[in-house]
Amino acid sequence: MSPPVAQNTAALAEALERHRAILDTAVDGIITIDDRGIIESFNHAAERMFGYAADEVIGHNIRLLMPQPYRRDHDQYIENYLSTGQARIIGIGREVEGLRKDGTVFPMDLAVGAVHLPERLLFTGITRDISDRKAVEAEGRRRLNDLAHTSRLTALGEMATGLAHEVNQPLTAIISHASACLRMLGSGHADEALMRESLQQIARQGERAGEVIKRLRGFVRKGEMAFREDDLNTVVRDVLWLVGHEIKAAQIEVDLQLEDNLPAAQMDRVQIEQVVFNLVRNAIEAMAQTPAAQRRLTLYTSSAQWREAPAIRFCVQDSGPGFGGLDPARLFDAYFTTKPDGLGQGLSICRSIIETHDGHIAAEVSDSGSARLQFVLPQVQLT
Amino acid sequence: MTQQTPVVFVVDDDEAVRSGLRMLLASAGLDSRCYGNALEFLEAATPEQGGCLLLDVRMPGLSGLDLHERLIAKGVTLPVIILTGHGDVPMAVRAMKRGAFDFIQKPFNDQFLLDRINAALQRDSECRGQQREAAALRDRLARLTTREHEVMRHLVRGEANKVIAAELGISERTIELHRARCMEKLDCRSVAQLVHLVLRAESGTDAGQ
Repeated sequence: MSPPVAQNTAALAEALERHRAILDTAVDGIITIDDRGIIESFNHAAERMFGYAADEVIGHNIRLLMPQPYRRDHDQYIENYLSTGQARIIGIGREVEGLRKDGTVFPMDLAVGAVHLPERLLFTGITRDISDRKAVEAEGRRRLNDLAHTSRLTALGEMATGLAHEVNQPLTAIISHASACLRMLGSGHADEALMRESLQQIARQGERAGEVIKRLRGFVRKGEMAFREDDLNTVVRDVLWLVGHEIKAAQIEVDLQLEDNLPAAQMDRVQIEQVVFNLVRNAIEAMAQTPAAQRRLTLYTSSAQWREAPAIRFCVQDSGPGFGGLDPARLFDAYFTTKPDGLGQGLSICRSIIETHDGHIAAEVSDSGSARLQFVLPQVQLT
Repeated sequence: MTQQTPVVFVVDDDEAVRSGLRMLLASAGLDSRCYGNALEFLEAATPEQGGCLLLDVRMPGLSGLDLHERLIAKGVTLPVIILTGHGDVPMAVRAMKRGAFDFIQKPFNDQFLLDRINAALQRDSECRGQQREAAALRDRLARLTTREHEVMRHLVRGEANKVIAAELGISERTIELHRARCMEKLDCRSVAQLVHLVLRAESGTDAGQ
């Protein structure tokens, strides 16, 4: 070996060593694979993240580090890229799942770059374990869920009188009919037609009471956060049923304008129900000092646009005195309240819920000076 | 005032509750008439019809308590039993202060309700009996002449003929004559009876208001 070659070799070795050192000090996992998906390098951070030593994975297909469905489809991803040149992930980065040696799956951010060498193609993947961030987010959602649930129970407690009435009416009817039947039987003048009518009523009213309880249970259930496609109009109707007694007692005229065939939205139904419920109840309370003949509650749903994407809108308008000159935007601050005995939690919870849904909630003064609150939810939740 | 069969009036916006009460009351041999809202009943109610009223406290339009006030204004004095779905204490206090006969929570025990209804009917019938008697007594009092009436007023104050004669500036003999005619017309044998009659006639007037 002539000195220059030896020198070059030494320099090359040093450069490689330096690069490896740099890769190994990186916080993020850095993995390179060839165009068949075979792992060529695996830095320290990647070793820590996946639980494999570099020499355990080098030479193996990168699929090893993935749970399904990525594991099944990964070869196809590379092939698609090679044949079409269309990047689905390269240069973009996205949230995916990794599979550790011990079999646990964890969320990670993945950025992929293509390295075009003269002879061949390499891919570098930079991975970051986001388990902690995800856990914090999940905890935040769980707390919001708890808070929403507590506030719902409180509200139901306040409405106990009206709700008790909903159950008491069918019970009263049942007891009356049943007692009437017993008396008729006892008197020896049991009119079969009358008794039949009473028994039918008893059965019907029993079902009615059961239905009331079923619906109430729906409102107090403590759901896991579950986003699925749901119909906002149904949510609005259910809430209207729940507050029906308050509306009746306050002699409020309801103007319900629900858009036919309103597109579905991704939502946690229990939480959106909570928002609609809070907004409607606020509107009812806002009209406490309004003369009965002028109490009017307008509820409508419609298709809308939000951040240049298709969305759905819910809007509630009352005929009360508005916000008394206060800045409507402040309504959503925690602990801000205009009610003498309010805690200022309701609207703040509403905003958190709507923002968790990637939506937007706003308050404004209507043309007639009353309060109008509305929220939009995206029609399709982007992942 | 003619005597009529007492009727239990029911005002409740819930058809199922109305039909239940109608059957229950019929099975207990009571006549009932049911109304879905307060205004309907207010139209139909007359001061003459005896009975009692079962009134649900929570209703759209005219509330149960408002109806009670309007009935009193119309001279309908039926005893009112307020029905409520929930022990709402301030509402109960308000209702009782305005003279409700009773306040019963739904759902109720049928026998308890019927007992209260019977008590209310009894109270109504007694009131009406007193009013009828008072009216009859007032008719009899109206048969007295102005002078006889004047003498009667003095008599019930326990004044002797001599004192009355001096006050009215007429002879004791004339007072004796008026007094005899007064006692005859009112069918009283003693001043004590006369006092009792006048009191009953006047208490009836109060109860009718």
